[in-house]
Amino acid sequence: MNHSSSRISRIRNVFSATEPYLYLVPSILIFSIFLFWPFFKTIYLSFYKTNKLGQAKLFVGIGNYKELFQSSAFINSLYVTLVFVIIVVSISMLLGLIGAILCNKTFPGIRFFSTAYALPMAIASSSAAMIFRIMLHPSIGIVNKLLHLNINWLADPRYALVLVAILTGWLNSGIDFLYFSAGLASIDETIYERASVDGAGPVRQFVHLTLPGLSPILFYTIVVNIIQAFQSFGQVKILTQGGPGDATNLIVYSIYRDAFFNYRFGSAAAESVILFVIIMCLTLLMF
Amino acid sequence: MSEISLVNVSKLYKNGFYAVKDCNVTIHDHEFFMIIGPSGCGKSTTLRMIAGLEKISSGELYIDGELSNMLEPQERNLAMVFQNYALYPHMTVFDNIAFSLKVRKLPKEEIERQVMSVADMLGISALLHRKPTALSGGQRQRVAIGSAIVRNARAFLMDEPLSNLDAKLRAEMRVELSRLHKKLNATMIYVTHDQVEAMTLADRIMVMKDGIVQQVAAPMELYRHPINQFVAGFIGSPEMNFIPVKSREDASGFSLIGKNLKVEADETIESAVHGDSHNETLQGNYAQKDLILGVRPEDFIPVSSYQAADFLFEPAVVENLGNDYLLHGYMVSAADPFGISRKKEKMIVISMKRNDTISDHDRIPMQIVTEHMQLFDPESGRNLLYPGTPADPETLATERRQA
Ligand SMILES: Nc1ncnc2c1ncn2[C@@H]1O[C@H](COP(=O)(O)OP(=O)(O)O)[C@@H](O)[C@H]1O
Ligand SMILES: [Mg+2]
Repeated sequence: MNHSSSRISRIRNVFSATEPYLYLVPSILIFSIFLFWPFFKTIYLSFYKTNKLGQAKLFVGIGNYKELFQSSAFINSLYVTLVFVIIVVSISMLLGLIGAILCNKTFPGIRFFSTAYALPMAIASSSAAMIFRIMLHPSIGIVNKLLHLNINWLADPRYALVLVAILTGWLNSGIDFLYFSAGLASIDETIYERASVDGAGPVRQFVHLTLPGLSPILFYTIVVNIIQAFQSFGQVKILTQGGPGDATNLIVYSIYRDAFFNYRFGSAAAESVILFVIIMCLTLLMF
Repeated sequence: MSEISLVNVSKLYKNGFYAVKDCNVTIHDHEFFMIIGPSGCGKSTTLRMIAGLEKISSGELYIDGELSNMLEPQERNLAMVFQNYALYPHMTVFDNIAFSLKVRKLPKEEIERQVMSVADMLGISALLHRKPTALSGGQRQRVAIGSAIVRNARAFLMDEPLSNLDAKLRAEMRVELSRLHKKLNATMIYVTHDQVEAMTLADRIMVMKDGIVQQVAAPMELYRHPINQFVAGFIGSPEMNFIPVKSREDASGFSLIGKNLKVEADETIESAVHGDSHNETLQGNYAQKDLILGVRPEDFIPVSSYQAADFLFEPAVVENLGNDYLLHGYMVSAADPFGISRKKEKMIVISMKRNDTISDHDRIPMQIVTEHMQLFDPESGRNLLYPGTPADPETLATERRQA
């Protein structure tokens, strides 16, 4: 009697000690299979030359990295990506901010406008890119029709990167709109009333009240935007395939090309690691 | 010099709701003007229309004789203290107070000097480098007031500035505000639902109910001559006692008779009831009709004999307030002092001074101070003894002040 009850209580103790971990098992399992394993596999691969099936064949140490930093194509990729990220982040944040400010007041039809500003979030980048491509089509595209121009936008290295960046910026602006709307909603309305009685006009109110009020969310939004911009892929694949030349060969696209066209999985893995390090550094720098 | 006039000002919200209806009032220069009324009666709306934060649906607003309906808040040169203080959360106390001066592009030294002087006046000099979140309620309140008075505004608007403070702090700030008003000699328009604040601070009080101005008058004027039952009940604490009565005329003269009460009435009351009072709008014959007698808690006098008593008072609860005490209890007919058939009615409240001598009977003979009695029409609520024309409380108040 006594013996068995102490046994039960011991089992109970063991169970209560392990219970929390049991709940974590499913997510750890999923993370391990889909995140940790590929991540470590990538780092592992980046030190090898591989065969066409992506199996590690020859250990080369940091050889892949060395090659990359000596390749002008990769340096170009880095540069293109940098320009691209700057344009995308500026455009998406600006669009999101303007939309959020416009929709911060209630007026008839606000639902329509809110939906319109948040909509890019719901559009797949590839379908947006398809539509964009038709719009920019040199002969039937509406852009040329409206501007009475005859430019092959996506084939022109001067425009291609900027256009892809504009599209991406617009696509990313939906989520920024949401962030900024939430940020604006958290600012006490009456401080604007006080400011207007105090004599401050709209510009001063924006600079002295809105921006500081948004600053916590502003910061978070920048980080998320940068990460998102670095990882853009679908629109490049559909609009320019990295071209013309290497004008839109963003790192992610270059990884894709290296891996699945050139079968240089080792090099692609090394690029991935570099991209990861860049994003991680930027994020750490910001926090 | 700043005089603010509202002429037939109304606020109609989109849902067809009149938050303020036909408000007519002139706030004089240097006046401490109170707007008082229960929650939701349109006080804030009125103040916000003056500030320009709310559009005026109809009517005219004059600031110093200039029609100001269309002026932006920025152009009105008014200062406002908000109920929630509306401090700029990411600015220090100094920057909060300095904001309106910076907007006006004053020289830096000048700004510093003025902020310091205001901070000194309000006792917040030590807090100038703190953020609002690091302040207590009372300190925030001071910062809000400081931010308003630092500037030479034409008038200071305050929307329930003390309502978020605890009782002790509120009493302190009341005194301070009064001092401040004297010192600044400025026009103040102050919204509150607290009649104690109104009575202690105001030069004049405007009482509102459901968006409609009931009466505008000096505090004691409101207290002694309320225009209707609502104002009578709203002003004064504890509330005025309302006792249902009828008038009666017999051999002993004209009197007011309640269930357990008989008051000899004087000629003023008699003529008011008979409708031949000087006051035309109140004319109508109230003899035989139901009336409501209004008596303030302090307008009862304990007497020594049953004969002299208007009624007997049977205390049920005694509230000791230190120097005063409040007796809550029932009226018993003086004609039937030992009656067992007394009908219990609503309790009335009587306020006594500590040194008032009361007989230690269970039932105290009481007299009512006839001079301060009010008599209300139970249907319309209007005060039959109101000495002016209800349609024009403004003139009345002015006349009285001059008298
Ligand atoms: N935007 C609005 N639409 C409709 N009714 C409103 C609106 N704003 C306020 N009200 C109503 O107007 C009335 C007066 O409000 P307010 O002036 O704030 O009252 P208070 O006397 O408590 O300050 C309230 O009954 C309130 O419900
Ligand atoms: Mg209010």
